[in-house]
Amino acid sequence: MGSPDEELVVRAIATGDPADYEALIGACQADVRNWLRHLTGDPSRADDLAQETFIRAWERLHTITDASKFKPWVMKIAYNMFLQSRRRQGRDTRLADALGREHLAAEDHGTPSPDAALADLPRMLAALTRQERIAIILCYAYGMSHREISELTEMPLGTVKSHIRRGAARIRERFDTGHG
Amino acid sequence: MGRFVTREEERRLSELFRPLNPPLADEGFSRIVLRRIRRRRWLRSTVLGAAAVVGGVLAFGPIYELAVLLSEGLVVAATRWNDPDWAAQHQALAVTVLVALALPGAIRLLER
Repeated sequence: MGSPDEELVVRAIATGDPADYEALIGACQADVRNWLRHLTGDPSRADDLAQETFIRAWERLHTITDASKFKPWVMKIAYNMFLQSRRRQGRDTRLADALGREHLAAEDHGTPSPDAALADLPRMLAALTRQERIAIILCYAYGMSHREISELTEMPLGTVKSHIRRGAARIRERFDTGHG
Repeated sequence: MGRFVTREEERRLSELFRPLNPPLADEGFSRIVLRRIRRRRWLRSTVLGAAAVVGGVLAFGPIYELAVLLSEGLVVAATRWNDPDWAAQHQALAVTVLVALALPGAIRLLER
């Protein structure tokens, strides 16, 4: 995960000028919005939450302990915002992403996919537990380290590692059985 | 099931999951966030400013009366502090004031 320039964080804190914050938003907006899209399965709701996430991050910017870890820090805020909104709505929103569903729908209608592995992605994700899915997606789609995932999800580091190991094993099984 | 993920598998998994985080054009997203931050700041400073003015106006009377009472009390205390009868009469008050003055310092010391 290419961390935005540490200097940008330091400068935004020092000046307190929202204009200095714009570059930070630009550097992380795709990751945060994609992550919230995975969590909510609704791009419009995800973007609303992403806006709230960056506003909250701005208000708490002075509390960041490691300026080089802005992206994992803001991803954690996004995750907490999602959990809060889910609690507020009282809905049991499952981890589902629009991309995955599109591919699943294409398969269900018998449309041949240009990439068999990619088309199998939603099925593979469905085979994982929620925690495994979160750990695997954060690790391999967002390039976060195990420690960063542990801090984000508040799962112990060992648990994150075993979720990733188990998830990868399940995917491996699927590849072995499904794709030889 | 429990074996470690090899480097080759790591690479394959990264390739496999990369499409879940595609490049996403900003399309005014940053500008909307900045506008909302500025609006929120303006609203906050306006509300705080208005609250300070209203609070100041409302509190002016009681604060003025308190200041008058305190200054009168201080003048009396300064002139009669060595009068044993007066001191005995106001012992409890004097102790309360001393404790109130010393308390914040004591709390800070304890926190350290």
